[in-house]
Amino acid sequence: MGAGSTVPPIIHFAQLEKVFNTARANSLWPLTFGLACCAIEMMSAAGPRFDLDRFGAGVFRATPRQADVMIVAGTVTEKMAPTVVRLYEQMPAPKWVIAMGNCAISGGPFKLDFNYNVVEGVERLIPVDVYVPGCPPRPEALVEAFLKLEEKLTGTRRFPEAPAIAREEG
Amino acid sequence: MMTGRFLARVLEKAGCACRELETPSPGFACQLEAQADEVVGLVRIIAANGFFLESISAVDRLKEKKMDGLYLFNHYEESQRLMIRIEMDRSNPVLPTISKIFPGALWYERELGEMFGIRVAGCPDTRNLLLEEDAKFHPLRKDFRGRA
Repeated sequence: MGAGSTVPPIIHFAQLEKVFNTARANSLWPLTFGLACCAIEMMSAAGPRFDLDRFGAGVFRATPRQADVMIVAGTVTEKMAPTVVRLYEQMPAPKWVIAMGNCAISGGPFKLDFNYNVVEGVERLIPVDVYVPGCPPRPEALVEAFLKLEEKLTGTRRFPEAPAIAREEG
Repeated sequence: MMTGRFLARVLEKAGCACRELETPSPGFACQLEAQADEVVGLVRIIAANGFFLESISAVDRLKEKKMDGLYLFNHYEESQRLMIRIEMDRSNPVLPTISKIFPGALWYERELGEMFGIRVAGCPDTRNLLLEEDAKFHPLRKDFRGRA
């Protein structure tokens, strides 16, 4: 569970792993890295109103060597693709990837017959753990993505689910 | 005549008569049609008279088998806009570089090269600007139907 999108280690120390994963889940440091308008929402999520720091995920690192999570926030172009892969490879394991927004999931509005410069989904380049749909997703959606990632690491959800919004029948 | 007296004087220096356009483009004081080998001399005179480069673009006319290079220039004090149009053969479009006069033209010329497949003669840098390094297609050509 703790290895994220990388190959898991051969020997597991179950109890130790649990302790590590709890620690990891509550200190997911993202990489300072934005590709398009989704990055504005990512910045908003890190700001005081939505405050990713509540979940230990507000520590945006300026180098991939100190980061745990890569938030692919925006359109990945063919020109940018080698750099995205390189940044991912420079991150030390265990590492995770959040594909934020429709562009990073599937190419979004750029998925056309005559598309020539957009990678149709970052999953074609690197393994993705959590997908956040939206164009762009709201900051709450990114916060939820971190909670989902926590859930993936520890197996339990630490924060209660958001209450369902009452809607009219029809 | 839409052309202002200032522009008329500049073009007189360039040895280029002002021609009234059949369909004047709105916003432009003047639209010149020139040959590719006249461009550098014309641009040099235009630059010496205080015009600056707005952009370089191109139009692909697939039916006529022609391609037009467009140079757009502006002037602050005289509030003039000027367009130079160079008609080229679509099969082998070549434009001369003006990056020695306007260094900022280099990126436009690189973009012309990758997007339209226009060869810029004498351009010191012919790498792709926006497309990946090994891209060989020209997406802004009218017959472009997607990569691969």
